[in-house]
Amino acid sequence: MLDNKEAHDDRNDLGQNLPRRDAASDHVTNRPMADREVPLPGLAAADDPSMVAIHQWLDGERTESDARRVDTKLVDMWSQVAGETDRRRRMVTPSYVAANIMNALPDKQMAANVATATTASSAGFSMTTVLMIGSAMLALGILIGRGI
Amino acid sequence: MTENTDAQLIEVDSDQDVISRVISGERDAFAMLIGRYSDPLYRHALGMTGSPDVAEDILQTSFIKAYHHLGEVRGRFDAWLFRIVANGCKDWLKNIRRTHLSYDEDDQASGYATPDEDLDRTELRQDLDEALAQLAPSLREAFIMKHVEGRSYEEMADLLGTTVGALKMRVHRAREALQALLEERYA
Repeated sequence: MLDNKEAHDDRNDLGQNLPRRDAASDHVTNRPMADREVPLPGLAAADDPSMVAIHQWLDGERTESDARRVDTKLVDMWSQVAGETDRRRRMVTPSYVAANIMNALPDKQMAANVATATTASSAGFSMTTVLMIGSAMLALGILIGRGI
Repeated sequence: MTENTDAQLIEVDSDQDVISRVISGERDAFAMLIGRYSDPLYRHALGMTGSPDVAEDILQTSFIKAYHHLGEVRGRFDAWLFRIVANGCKDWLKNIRRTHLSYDEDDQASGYATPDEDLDRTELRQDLDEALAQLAPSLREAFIMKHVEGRSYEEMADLLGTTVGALKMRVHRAREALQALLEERYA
C-alpha cells in the first residue's frame, strides 16, 4: 500500500500529473522547514553515476575507494553522516524508562488475568474464583439465617 | 561457574518461555522482555520522532500495550512488538501533521546531544535531524532502520512485511533527499 502511494507521489489528489521541477532551480533547502516535504521523484538523478556509486558503497556492494574514485566529496559527506548514525546506534534507553514501564503494569493478580482470553488455565482460574465467591455468599447467608 | 544466575537465565529463556511465565502470573518476568528489546526500539522511536521525551512515551505505551495483549502474540514476539512501536511513531507523526503542531526544534536537536562534543559534530547532528524531519515517514523509517539501527534489507522486509526491493527504493530515495539537503554544506 505504501509503495503504491509512493509510486504516485508525483500526482496531486485528483491523480493529475504534477509538473516536474529542476533540482537546481528549486532546491529543497529553499523551502520553509514547516513544509516537511520530501523531494518529488525524479528530482534526484537516480541514474547519476555518482549517486549509483554512493548507493552501492552504502549498501556494501562497493568499496569506499571505488566510490571515492567516482565522487570524493560525496563520499566524505556520507562518511560524516555515517559517523553520526554509528553514534546513534550505540544509544541506550534511559534506565528509568524500564522502571516506569514496570511500575505502570497492573499487579500480579491482574497480570494473571492477561491470560483470560487465550489460555485454558485462565478459564479454570475464573471458575475457581466464581466458586469461591459463591461459597462465601452461601456461608454468609446461612450465618445471617441462623442469626434471625 | 555452574551457578545459575539471573543473567544466564535471560540468555536461556526464549521469548515464548518468558511470555508464558508472564501470562501465568509472573509479572516481573516482563522486565526481561523490556531488557531485551527496549534499546533498539528506543533508537527507532528517537529516530522517527527526533524527541527523547516522545520516544520514551511511545516506548512505555507500546510495552504496556504489549503486556496487556501478550496472549495475542502469534509468531515472533520481537517483530510483533516492533510493529506496535512503529505504528506508535507513525500515529504520532500523523497527529503532529494534522494539528500543525511542530515539536520543539530545540528539543529535537538536543535529542542526541552530549555536552563534550565539538561544534562541527553538533551542527551536523542538528542538520541531520532537520533533514530527517523533512522526509516522508516511510522514507525516514527505512533510512533509520538501515543506517541507525544497522538492519539488513532482509530483516527490514521481515519486520515491515514488505519486499527487499521496495525497501531498497525507499532507502535510496531517502539518501537522495538527504543528500540534496546536506551536500551544499557538507560536500
